[in-house]
Amino acid sequence: MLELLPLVVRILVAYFYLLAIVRLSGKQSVSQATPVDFVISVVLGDLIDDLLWSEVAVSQFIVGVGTLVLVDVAILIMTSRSARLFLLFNGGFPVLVRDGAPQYETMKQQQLNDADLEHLLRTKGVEPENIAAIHLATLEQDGHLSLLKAREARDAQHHDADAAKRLRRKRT
Amino acid sequence: MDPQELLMTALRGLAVYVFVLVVIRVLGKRTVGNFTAFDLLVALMLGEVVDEIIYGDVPFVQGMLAIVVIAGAKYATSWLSYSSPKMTKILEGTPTELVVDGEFQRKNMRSETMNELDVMSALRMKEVEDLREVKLAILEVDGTVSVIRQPWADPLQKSDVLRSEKKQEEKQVDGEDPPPSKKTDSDRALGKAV
Repeated sequence: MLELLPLVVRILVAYFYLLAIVRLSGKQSVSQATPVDFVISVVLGDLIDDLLWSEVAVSQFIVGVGTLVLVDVAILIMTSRSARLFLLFNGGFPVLVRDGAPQYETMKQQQLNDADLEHLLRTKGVEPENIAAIHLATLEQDGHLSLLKAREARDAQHHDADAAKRLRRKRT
Repeated sequence: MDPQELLMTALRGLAVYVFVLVVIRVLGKRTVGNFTAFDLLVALMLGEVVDEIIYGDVPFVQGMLAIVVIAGAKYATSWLSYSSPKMTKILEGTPTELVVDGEFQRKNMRSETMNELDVMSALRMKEVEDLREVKLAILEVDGTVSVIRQPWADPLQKSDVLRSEKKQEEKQVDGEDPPPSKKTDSDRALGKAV
């Protein structure tokens, strides 16, 4: 039974070390993760594996994980300070539809064909015929499509109703 | 690979599957609810352990113990986080204000290593095009961005549309002027300096 103790210790070391590192590095959501984040997660998973089954020493684990996260954070800081670096590391925000017109150049770069675009629009509840109602459709970092509708097609807001009311009052 | 070994592999796979299922159910929704970056790592950790168990590279008991320890640690940190606000702050962090009344909170953005492009991207995901519409944009603990619009930019409510002359006087939304002529610019929406 006692030979299981080193395993337990290694697991706890890995667990709390990772918790501390993740908290300190400030990384939070998986949902806004970029592809690079996922690659790093998989590598980290593998490093954990090596520690758990004692294929590497704890010190090696600490240094290995620490270095990986440090580089990741350093790149994060650099890209957040400089727009140019940001675009270099993360790619831009490809605009797929601008004012009702599909941007075929951009789509080609992203290797998206018409069917792909229609699918993306459908995920946002837009039928292909209604493409004219789109002001800006952008492909965000995590692969989701963000949709900004044209002025007339947008959901009505309070101030629209107020303006209408004021108009009504003026007429009566 | 003799049939005996294959059978053992299959049985181990089944046993581990059921075991992990039970463990996750016991942990409860909140523990596995907010899927943060750390949770992904824990999931990977579990995966590594399960991997070794199924192929019989570690003694079965050792593998099960590893799962229990990982789940236990997760439960413990979750309980700790729940038990006191200070622990929550340490373990999960606090929400950060990114935009207040249409203005970027640059100091906060810097501490979260977000630049304007990141914030504008998050706003676009919430279908917000214009910073002026934003009363408050907060980076939540789990990394998502919540957007609270200015009252005049809120979606229509029934009270706005239903004809009730009496209510019209009271329902005058006070304090908000309609926004200046909204020339929505795609450059601004993309976060480029306008």
